[in-house]
Amino acid sequence: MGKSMYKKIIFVWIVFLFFSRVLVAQYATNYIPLKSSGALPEEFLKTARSLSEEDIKNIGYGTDRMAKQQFTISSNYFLRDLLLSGDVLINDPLGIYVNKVADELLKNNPELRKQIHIYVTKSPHVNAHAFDKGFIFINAGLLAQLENEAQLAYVISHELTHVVKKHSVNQYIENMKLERGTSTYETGSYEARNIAKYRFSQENETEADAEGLVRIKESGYSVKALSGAFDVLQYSYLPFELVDFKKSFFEDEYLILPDTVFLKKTSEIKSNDDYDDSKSTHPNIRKRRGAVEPELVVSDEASRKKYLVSEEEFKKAREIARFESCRLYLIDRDYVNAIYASYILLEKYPENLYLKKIVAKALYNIAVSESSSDRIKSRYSFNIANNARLSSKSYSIPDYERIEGPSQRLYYMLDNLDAKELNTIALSYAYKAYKKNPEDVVLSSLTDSLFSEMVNSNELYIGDFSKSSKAQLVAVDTVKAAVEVDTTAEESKYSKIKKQQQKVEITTDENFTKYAFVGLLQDNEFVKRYTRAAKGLTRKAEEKKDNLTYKERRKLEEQIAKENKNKYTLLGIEKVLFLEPFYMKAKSVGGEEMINYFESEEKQVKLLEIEKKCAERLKLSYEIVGTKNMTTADIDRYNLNSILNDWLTERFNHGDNPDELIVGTDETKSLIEKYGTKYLAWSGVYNEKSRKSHNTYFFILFNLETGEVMKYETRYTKSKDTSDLITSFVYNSLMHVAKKPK
Amino acid sequence: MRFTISLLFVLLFYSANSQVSGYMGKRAVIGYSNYFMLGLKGPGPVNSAPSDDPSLTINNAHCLNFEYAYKQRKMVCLSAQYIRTGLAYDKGIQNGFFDSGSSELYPYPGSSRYSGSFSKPALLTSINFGLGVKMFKNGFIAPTGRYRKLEVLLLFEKLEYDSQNFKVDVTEYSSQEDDTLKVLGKGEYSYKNIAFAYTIGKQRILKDKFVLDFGIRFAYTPSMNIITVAASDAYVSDVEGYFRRASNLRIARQQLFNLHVGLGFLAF
Repeated sequence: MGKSMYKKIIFVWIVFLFFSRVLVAQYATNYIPLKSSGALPEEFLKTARSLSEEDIKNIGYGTDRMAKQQFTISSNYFLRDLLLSGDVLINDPLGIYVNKVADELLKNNPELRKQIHIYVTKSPHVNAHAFDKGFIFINAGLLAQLENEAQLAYVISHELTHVVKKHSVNQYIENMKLERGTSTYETGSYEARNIAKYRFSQENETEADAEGLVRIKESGYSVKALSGAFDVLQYSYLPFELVDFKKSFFEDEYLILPDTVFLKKTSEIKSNDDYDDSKSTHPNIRKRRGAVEPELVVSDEASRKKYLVSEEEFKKAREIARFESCRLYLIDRDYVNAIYASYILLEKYPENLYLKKIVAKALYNIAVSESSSDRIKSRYSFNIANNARLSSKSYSIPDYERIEGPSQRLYYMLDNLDAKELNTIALSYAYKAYKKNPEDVVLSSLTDSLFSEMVNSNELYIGDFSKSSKAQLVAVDTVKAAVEVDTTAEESKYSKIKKQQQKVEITTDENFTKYAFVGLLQDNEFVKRYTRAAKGLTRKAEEKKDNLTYKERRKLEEQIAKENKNKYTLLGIEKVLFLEPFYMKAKSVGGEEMINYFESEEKQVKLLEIEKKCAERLKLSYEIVGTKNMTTADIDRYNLNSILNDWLTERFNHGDNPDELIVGTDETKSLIEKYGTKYLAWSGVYNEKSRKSHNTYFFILFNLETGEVMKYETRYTKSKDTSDLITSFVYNSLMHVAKKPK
Repeated sequence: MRFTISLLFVLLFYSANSQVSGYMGKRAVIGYSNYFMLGLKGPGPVNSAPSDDPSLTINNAHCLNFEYAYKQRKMVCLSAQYIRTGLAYDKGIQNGFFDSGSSELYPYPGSSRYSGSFSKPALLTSINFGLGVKMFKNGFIAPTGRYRKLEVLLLFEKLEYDSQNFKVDVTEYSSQEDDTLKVLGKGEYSYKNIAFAYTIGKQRILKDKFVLDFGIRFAYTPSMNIITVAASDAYVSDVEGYFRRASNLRIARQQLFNLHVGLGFLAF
């Protein structure tokens, strides 16, 4: 190795150390979630109709013209839906970096580059996908797992092949032919034709892998660096790093978790890459690896690079993606993964408030789910036009036996703690995080809710916790025993029993929660807030039910139902936020549902007009939040929609359990302040015409602060979706919102 | 007047305090409906044939409605209906001869027959008052959508006929009286009747103001049951009874099945 080589290595190390320190410094105390910025791209402003009309003109004539038109319309509808869902990030650091990589990849093909739009999507799943129209979406979850920039370039290159070869439309046409039995690809039985659909898709994927590699070879990216690309896919079910989990993460001087909840040995990672793929759209990893890896040879490998944009930018982007993933896991209700991912990053950034809040929120949700699973016996289901669902989804920690790798310890531990223990640990963690960040309102309200859970759900009062540590009690006991040797005073039976019980408690690990707050009970604020929570006991009536006779129970239930009816019938709300309504018109032809995308889009606009008209008549103030009629300057509206989208996704994931909802987030709090209302109304219509028309109308009103469903209404009618009918529904819903109770 | 004011006051009070939304807050509908159906065995107010002969006409009833949504899917309906139709005279002849045993002969003082112009039938008018409930199907909110309506109708019928043109059948009597003109009854009779109606219909609101109502109605008049329809003159003791039966039958036929179309407006 020459001198210059050593210099190079030292230089690279210095740069690496510098940037790692910069990264650590940047995220040492906090992280702000990604949001879009700059001007909205033109393609975000077009309707599905205008997008489709442009494309249909270019379809030309031929035997598949109709099928191509159908595909274009539905594909553009879903594309627009995705673009405006708030999940797509615009001009964000991840998107900027990914586009730089695409620039490098297509340096020699500027014409193709112009046609391609690449965005990063807020999803924790390890995936990327493309639309034939030239849109490629890379999930943040995928970026969090990649090893180097060349792998990212290969992912983009793979998706580019799908775009260039128009795989989606070809697949659509072939599937139709296979269903009808007119395909020359497979002419056998129905079963054989069905399997052929997967085979066709797998061939497309294999082609995308191969062509993707060709494009990489044409670029300056290292081909050797791709050798781990399929490992990323194979182990995508694992967290982005494998770090040994230590139970000390939740412990302090007094809160000591028993060893029994800590798994001694974790399962080995034994992912199988040769799984049955006969009914999968992608070939199995073994086949893909087998087809690509022998081709990972080029004569000029030495001159190629893993990083053409920059290693630092890659690492920065990956770190951001990892931070984002923590939050996205939380929204996805993947609480244990959210804690584990945050744990990995907290090892690097131990004082990061964002990560601590993620852990606190995840622990909170696990704790309240565990306590409410017993309390909420009969759950109900909200089914919204077969589209979204607020249903009975009680959360339970996934079976630890199915988890591989070091994160299994966390799954095992959380699964082996009961509601009281989880509540205690969550409160301890959240309160300590709050004490370090007393100005954080989210942590403050989170701890309040956990105090409330302690009292209301778990019946754990402040007196149930010891003010002295086990060590102190042992010391006192020893001293006492020494004193008592010299005394002749008689000891009562009850005193002896208490002493005996105390000795057992001190010597066992079982009641570790009793000593969990020894330190915190010396904090006046902790004691004050805990006491305040005990005063606000709210679930007395529910608790009483267990001790009642059948008749008394029925009477009490009727009384509660009556109170609830009065409470929720007329709400007397002065202002609401209208979320862009949902509207879908479908037609059933030969048992197959065909969506009329254009009409759906037009009806959606009309429904919003109806909402406005009814609100005005009721003198109900409103603000419309959504993405209709945006201009390039409306990035704030776009971000707002994104916040609400996240909120709603999370709320729907929580199903019918409002307790589980995170008590406010920074974003929704600012939104409430901005608009002067905490009520979000969302309505929609699903109209299906088979022989007759059927409508399903829904209206749902959320309290953004608490997540409570204030009003939920569905109406099913066998009728056309005429404007007057929908108006009568909307007015009725809004009347209950606006009118004050007597 | 005092009653109307009180009624309006009560309705307005309930409107202000109730949880019934109506249509855009309006719960009362005032409107006009027309009930109609092709009458194969007429006649209409202007006839062209005696009773047994087919005479095509359109049965027609004009109706003023006041409806009020008192529950989310229920409306109370008050209506006033006006029917003007004809009652064909019996010709009393079969195969060119007087049919002495036929019930088509008028009972005065024995069997009589009509000798005037058959092209101008007796005029039958009926003013009806209805009280009913419209029940909208599940999912709909009154006054919009599909409904079923149950209604009780009080019928006030009036028949005006040409009492001067009846002749007595000489073969029936031994009085040797000639086949001369007789005055049959008073020339005008009034009857009361009751009917139960069942309607299936649909209401639509146009321009947030007008109410379009259409559907089909079946009405049953208990006084015209199978026995009275099939009954011979033995059940009819006098001319008034005879015309009552004939009028009721005519009105019952008219009310039996009707299509209807109405137009109204949302009042308050």
